[in-house]
Amino acid sequence: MMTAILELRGVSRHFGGLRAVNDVTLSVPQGRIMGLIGPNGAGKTTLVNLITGMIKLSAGEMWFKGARIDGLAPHRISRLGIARTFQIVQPFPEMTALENVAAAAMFAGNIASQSEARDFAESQLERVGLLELRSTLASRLSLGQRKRLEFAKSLAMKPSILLLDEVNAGLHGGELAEAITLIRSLAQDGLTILIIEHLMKVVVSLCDDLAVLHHGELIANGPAQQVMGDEHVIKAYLGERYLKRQRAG
Amino acid sequence: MLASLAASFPARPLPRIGVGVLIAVALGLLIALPLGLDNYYMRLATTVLMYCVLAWSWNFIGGFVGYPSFGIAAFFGFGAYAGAILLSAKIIPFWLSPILAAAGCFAVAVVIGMPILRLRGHYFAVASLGLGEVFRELAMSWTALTGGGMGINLPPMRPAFGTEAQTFYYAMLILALVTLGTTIVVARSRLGVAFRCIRQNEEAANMIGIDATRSKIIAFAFSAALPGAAGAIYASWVGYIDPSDVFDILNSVKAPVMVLLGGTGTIFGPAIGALIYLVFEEFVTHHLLQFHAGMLGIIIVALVLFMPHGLLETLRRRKQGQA
Repeated sequence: MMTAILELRGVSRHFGGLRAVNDVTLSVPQGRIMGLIGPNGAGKTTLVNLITGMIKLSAGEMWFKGARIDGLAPHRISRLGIARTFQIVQPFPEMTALENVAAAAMFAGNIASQSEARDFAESQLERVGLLELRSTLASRLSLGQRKRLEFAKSLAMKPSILLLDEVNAGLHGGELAEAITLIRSLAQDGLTILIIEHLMKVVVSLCDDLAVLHHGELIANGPAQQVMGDEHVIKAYLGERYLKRQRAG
Repeated sequence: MLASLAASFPARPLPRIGVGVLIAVALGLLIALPLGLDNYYMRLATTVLMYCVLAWSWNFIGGFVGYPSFGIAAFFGFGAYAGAILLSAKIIPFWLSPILAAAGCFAVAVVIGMPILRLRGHYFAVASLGLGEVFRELAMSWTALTGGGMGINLPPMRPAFGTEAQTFYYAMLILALVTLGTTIVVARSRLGVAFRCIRQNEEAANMIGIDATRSKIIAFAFSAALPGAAGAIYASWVGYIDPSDVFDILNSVKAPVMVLLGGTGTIFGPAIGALIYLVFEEFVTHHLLQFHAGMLGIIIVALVLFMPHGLLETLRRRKQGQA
């Protein structure tokens, strides 16, 4: 049995009568890449919002590295080592790329000195290939560059687990290949990654494990190959997409 | 913007000695000023310093953090009453009154900030505006303590040296320098970075480990404590206060207008804005008395139309455009 870094036990979130996330029990094993897939509206982003404390649980428990984290404020959770990227990138537009990443290093990364935070931020910008744009305002970066900035910001938080919410959406061929290489190298460095992804070729090439959400419920969970052969998954997610593609073609 | 530049890079390669000399000359002028001024100009200079304090104070919550507060009058008045009550009871010396008033306002702002800083945008603005009105009503009704609508007469102050007018000028000058110092230290600190992150995107700020609630409360407390001290000095200076004077809602409007005039979230913008505003106000009251009330309105409209980012930022952008 692999050690789980993050454990969700019976996690639910209801908005009025809508069960956005319903009784999800899931273990994210340490040091692996887990894909979180499912149709639009399945509750994937809501689950990430729950893990990061942005919204509160209606029921259930969340454990991270053996400590209970549900009910903690978002800034506390991020300081524990849970970093996320947003589906819609959220940079600080009036700050430069370097200032953006340095702020993350300073607070969640817990680097007290501002100059050390900037040095650390530079190394993270280099890691994502954005170093030459360090003095550019975040608002002037292209979408692809902003996504990489989001990456650098998350890395500067020195996380143990990285939650990537559609970090590849909107990237073109070359950028996509670079992003995949980057994610893989992060995993090789021992970072645990939970990735929400719609592009099946990314899922197939990256993920060790898969968890499938459908109407807020976890319908499958396990090693990637096994899950992709699962009858329920094909019916609920892969099949629909496959059929759509067939019709479009 | 300037503040963010100042915070992240060492000041432009002006020779350090040049900056030192500049600061020394400015300080020398400010200290020597009372020697060459008659009473009218002394009053004006003290008023300018007082509004510099109010504008710089507003800049913490309104400029750096981006929460549009209209609470300046509330804490100015609170400080004025705190100072007046303590001084007329003759239990403390004059110099202690602004310090105690500031401490009191800080504590009150922390307690009030916890609920109202959960509100954003217009909602926060309205809540902060209401604060001044609540305090004014309290001062009106709590006659035993505040004298109600009759106000409070303060005991005359006997200055240790110089004239009374000079004492209040120097008191305001010291407070203005303390406020400026706090502004510079905060703008360059981690707290300043947190403020700017919150202004740009509060949710993302939380996600990178910034305790947004705590930071906002600190900013709000700074922008309450310093006007509180100014209020205490003001009370001694004018010698008589009543609720409609010190809780004047116009102070809550003037402070943000001055900051907007000079430049939001910058270090020197608020002071420049205060100076321009007050000189303009003096001019209008002297020459166009009937029109004086419309002036604030015209300034606000002109600001929104022509300089939404304030004077410093407009100049900087123009310069950047030419470069």
